[in-house]
Amino acid sequence: MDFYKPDLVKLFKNPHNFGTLEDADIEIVETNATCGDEIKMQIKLDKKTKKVVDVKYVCFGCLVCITSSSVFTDMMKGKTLAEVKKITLEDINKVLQIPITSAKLNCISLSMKAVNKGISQYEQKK
Amino acid sequence: MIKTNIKDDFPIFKNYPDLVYLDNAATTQKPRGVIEAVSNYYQKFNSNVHRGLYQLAEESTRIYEDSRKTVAAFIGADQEEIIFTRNTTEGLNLVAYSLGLNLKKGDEIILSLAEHHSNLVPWQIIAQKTGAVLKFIDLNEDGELDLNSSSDGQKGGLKGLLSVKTKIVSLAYISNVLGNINPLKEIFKTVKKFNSQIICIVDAAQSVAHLPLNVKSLQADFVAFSGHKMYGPMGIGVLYGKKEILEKMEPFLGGGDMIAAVYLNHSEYKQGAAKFEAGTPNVAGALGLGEAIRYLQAIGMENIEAKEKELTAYLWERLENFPNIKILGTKDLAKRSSLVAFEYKHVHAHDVGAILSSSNVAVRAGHHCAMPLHKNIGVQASTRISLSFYNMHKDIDQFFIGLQKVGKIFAF
Ligand SMILES: Cc1ncc(COP(=O)(O)O)c(C=O)c1O
Repeated sequence: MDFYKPDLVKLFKNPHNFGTLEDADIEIVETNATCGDEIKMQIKLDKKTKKVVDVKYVCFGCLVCITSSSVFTDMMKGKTLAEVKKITLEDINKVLQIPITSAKLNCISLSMKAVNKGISQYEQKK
Repeated sequence: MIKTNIKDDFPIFKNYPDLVYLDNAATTQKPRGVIEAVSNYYQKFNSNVHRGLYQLAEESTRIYEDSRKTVAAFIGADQEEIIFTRNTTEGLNLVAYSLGLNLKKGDEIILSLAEHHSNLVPWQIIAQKTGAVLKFIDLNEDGELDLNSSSDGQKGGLKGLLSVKTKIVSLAYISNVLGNINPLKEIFKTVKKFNSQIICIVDAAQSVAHLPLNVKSLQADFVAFSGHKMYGPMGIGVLYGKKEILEKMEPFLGGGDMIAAVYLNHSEYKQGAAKFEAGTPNVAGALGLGEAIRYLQAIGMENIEAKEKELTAYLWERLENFPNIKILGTKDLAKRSSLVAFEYKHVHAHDVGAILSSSNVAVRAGHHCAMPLHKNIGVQASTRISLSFYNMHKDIDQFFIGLQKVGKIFAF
């Protein structure tokens, strides 16, 4: 039952940064191969500092997927892309504190995989 | 009638008395006789087949070939029509590569929108290599195969899709997501009447342990299934292939055991099923599968069907009326097998599965290796219960206790 702590269910029902951006600099769709879930992530960067000013995502995912995406997107704000890339699963799980089983690994890392792919593509384009 | 203590035949339930196993479509549990047969093989018979001249090797070969006879009798085939594989997936790939690679540009392969990835991906590979074209039988609202509509070029009803270019029709007998039993007898009759040269292939992975199967009355040219979904060991499967067609086919894998004579630049192959079994086979697995079939035959496929129908009806009655649940597939129980997948409104299938697991209930949650189907019916992921004759009302009651927990935790 460890996934379904009341505070996590609350976060699941009221996820942070859920939605879309009008003028994103980075946009990426990633699929979780085990359940077929798709996440769409958008990142807006500050023109001068290149730090993340806003980030949003849309996904119909499980509790672990949605709560980890909420925590991760919160962490991204105000960071440079280089700093975002350094955020680890362990950093996210310090907040969630859930057992990461092999089945759940894909769910907790979906938003991170999406963002890293998005950043690589963005950097290649530059 | 099936004895009430049937679970005693399955050692896993002795090790986990509280386990409510409702994921039989993924793999079934194994009866003691099967486990012992595999273990016995390695203790008393282990030696390679078809080559040793000593007693043990003779015995091993006899065991392997006896299992082939057992399988053949179980599905109404001849023993030289039984190819041992690893699983359904390998069987379907074998047909796709050996037969499909001869297709020409523009030739057509008919599948349905409800196929498991293993009856889709191999054909995609063949289509890409040969220029053949994939066509898909559409589904009606209940997920039943559309038999009559016209084709829109890519999908449509069976009759609309059949053309002079159709070379292969490959379909699941029972959908692993919808639970629908497809009317393959009727479908293959239509196909063969249209053109008797069209090859009819059955993915019997989900039917073989639940429905009696007779390859001849079905008019099937190929039938693939897995031992592990019919109470046998993992790593052994079967591909039935019609003799006349096997004779004309190229081998799938080359190597030892499938050759009649080998020269430096070419080889001559064995005939029949032997041509398709390269390398050392899974003899212990074949023995275990034979034992599983004997176990099923002792219970009787009619009894299995009747018990599973009764269990499905018991599950259905409550699930259908459960708040926030949408069941996938046909509502006509006569057209369903014992697997039922559903969507829980606003709750992801992974969460349903995980909460059920905390009540000791094992179900499958996800896209069940059928991503195109889920897209087609507008469901991202579903939770699937699949029953076996060894399940009891008590198991289903425990499932509903778990399902109520889902409602409490997410409280919408
Ligand atoms: C309809 C169907 N076809 C094919 C397969 C593949 O079986 P295997 O993984 O044993 O090859 C499955 C298994 O889930 C299935 O349900």
